[in-house]
Amino acid sequence: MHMINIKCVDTYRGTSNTLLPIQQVGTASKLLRSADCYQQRFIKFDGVGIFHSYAELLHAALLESNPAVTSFTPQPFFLRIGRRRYIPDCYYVLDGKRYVVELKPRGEFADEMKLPLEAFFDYENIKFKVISNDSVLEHELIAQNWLRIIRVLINARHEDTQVEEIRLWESFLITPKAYLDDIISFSNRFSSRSREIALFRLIHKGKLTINFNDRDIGINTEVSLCN
Amino acid sequence: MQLTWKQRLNNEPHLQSFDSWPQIDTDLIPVSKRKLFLRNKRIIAKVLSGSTLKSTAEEYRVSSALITNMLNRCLSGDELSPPPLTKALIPNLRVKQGNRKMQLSDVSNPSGARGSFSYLLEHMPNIKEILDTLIESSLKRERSAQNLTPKYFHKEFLRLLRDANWPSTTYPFDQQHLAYESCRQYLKKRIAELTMPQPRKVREILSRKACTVPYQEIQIDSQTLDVHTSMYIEFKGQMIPLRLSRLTLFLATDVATGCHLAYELCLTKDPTQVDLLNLLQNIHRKWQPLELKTPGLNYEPEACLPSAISDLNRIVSVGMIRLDNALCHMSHLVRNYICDELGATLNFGLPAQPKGRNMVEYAFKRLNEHIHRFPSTTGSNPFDPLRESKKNLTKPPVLTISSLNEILSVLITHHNVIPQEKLGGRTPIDTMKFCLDNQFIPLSYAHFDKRVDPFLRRKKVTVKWLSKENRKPHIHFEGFRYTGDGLHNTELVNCKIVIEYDIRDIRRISAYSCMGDRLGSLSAPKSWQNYPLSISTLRKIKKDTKRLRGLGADPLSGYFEFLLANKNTPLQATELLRVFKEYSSSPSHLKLLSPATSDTKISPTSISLRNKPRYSSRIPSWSPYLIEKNL
Repeated sequence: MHMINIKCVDTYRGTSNTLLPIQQVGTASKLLRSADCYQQRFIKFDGVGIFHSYAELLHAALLESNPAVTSFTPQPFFLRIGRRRYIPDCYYVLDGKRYVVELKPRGEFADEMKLPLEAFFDYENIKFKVISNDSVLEHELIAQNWLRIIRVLINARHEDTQVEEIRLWESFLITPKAYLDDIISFSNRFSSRSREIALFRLIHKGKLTINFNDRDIGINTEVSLCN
Repeated sequence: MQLTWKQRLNNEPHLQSFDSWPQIDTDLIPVSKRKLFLRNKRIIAKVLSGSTLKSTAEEYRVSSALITNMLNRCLSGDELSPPPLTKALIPNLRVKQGNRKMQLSDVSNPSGARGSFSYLLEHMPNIKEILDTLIESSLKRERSAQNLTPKYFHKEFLRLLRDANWPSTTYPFDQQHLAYESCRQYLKKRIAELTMPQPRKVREILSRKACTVPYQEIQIDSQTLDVHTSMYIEFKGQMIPLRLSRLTLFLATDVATGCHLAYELCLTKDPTQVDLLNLLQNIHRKWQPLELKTPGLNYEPEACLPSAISDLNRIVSVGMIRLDNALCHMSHLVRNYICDELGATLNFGLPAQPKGRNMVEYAFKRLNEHIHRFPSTTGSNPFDPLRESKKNLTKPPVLTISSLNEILSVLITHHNVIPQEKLGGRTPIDTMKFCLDNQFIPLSYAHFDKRVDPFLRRKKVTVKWLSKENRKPHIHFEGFRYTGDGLHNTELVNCKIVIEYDIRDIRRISAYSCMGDRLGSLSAPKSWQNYPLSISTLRKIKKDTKRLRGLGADPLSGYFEFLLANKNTPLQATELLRVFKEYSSSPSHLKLLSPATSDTKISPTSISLRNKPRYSSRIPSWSPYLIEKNL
């Protein structure tokens, strides 16, 4: 049995009793300059997320693509394990269950850190996982395609497409499978502007599924009704 | 398990066909061995096709044992390792590492030394470990180590054997040179193994796939141009040539197509966030060719920046923007514009790793090849022989700033119409057009509705009214009192309102109530209304004013006088130019005189001043000798 000497520290007010992250722990400007940091706005996380590696960015995009994930927070807590400081890479809620994830180059995480963390988070009803960067990079193409969709939705965040979404949804009830070319007019993108945004919103909500077929998103990408 | 040739053929039946064996180019085999090699090939092919050993031996006039030996050379061996096959047919080629099976050679029973050294290392306890330790410590240059040579390594080997009571009649003591050559070869091999650099475990931190979609990865960088320029100004009827300090160029390059998307020439050596934001805006702003006035300079046909191609290019969504970790890139204003307004990913990359942005760095290299052709170049380094000569340094360069701007415009657009090998012989612009027509490019429709201005900022301030002083209600902003008709409302006194201002000109700002109702515009004091006033200039004025007392009643004029008095310093001259450009939209008694001035807007009032005969008659037509005349 491992001795659990972990404390969750709120960066502003000392010791914290909660493990409900609202915003990510601030990244020091020194780290921003010295690490390969990526900054990107997402939909399921309010604010500009700072990711400390490319794999973390892709992991966030994959979380965004999963309709069962309701929210996520990069760098959620500031913990003290004995005298060591530790900030996990990501926290997310999947089907009502809470997860904390650490991404490591080969999925190797020292046992003297991993075992106490597992016990600590288990007590808080949170599952602690260590994921290898390689397992995330295997889905790089899907994540990159999703990043494109997310950017479109971020840019169109003030547009109301509710009517178009219902219309599109009804059309998929009649014809459950279509190609992107059938929905978006590639010769005149402006004419199908609302349909394009509505389509991506329905995909993001999990009403429709998109099959990239190991290729960049394009005119032949298949969209179908979600089962 | 060791297999004979017959067992191998049973286990791997596909080897029955000689065509499936690897082919060896006969030209590569020495002529002396070529004849026997071809004969061996024919014999093995015949046997594998089904002929008996006896008949084949008779046909080729060789013994059956020889054929069996050949088959064993080709096919026998360890079950788990692949057989040597065709290469075993080359005469006298050693195909297997010889393991000594018979006893070591002795004085009474000499049996050759082949494989004996390896046998000793394998079977003598600790001898291999001790010899390896000797070599490693020698390579590490440890304090207790000795500098090994083959001679002393051999002596150490013999000493170890004697210490182990090795019989003095057995190998190596029965050999003429006591296994010196084996020791020398072993030492050489181990040193090579230990000194060869090990392959590094590469940690994957970047993408595994190349970017093929335009605008999905943009690399941006800035560089101080390796050239000095000059400019002419007319002040109180006198033309003054000024040497400028080195300028900075910002460049944005698309990774998928190699197309230059935008550039920004900054009139400073230390660019700020405003310069970077200008560049980011230029990516989506329609590019217009300059009216070229420099003699001999022309745009290539169809040369342009992508923003001039179509409306689609001006609303395309940007994927990832890669920058280095320069201080001006770390600004929150830049981050907010990229992440919030463009919806893009911002990446600063790893420090001191410029190859992470290889495209834009290479673009600067190409550009510098042209820039270094000017006599006023500073070269690549302080010892570059191309540097401007001391004789020329005393005079302002012939190259003017407006000419440099035109040259950069021509060079950067010219790159976009040069066919490139990596694009299959197409030009970057053609590739961009092809991708836009045939690929799904994410668009940012919000940009189509309203251009997001990164220079607009909002702030909450409190409305003040000092009734005892009988003054108008006002707000405090940047040390000024701003007044306006919209503040004449008692309900607003001591309440918060929102002001919106452009950081490039804060003479007039817009005011809104917290509920969003417009309250009209507010004005700075009258003494600051003469010229457009940016926040950065205002702060610089305040800083200088604090240092230098006694400026005139008009703070801007005083600041301008100060800069002019110190015009001989190139840095200050550049600052003068920056301030001039900022003021140039307003009535002024100053104007920039340059033969190729096209980027400087002159207001109607200044045009009327220019039309006055006493000024226009003094402006000579452009000539490179103009500088010398004025010196």
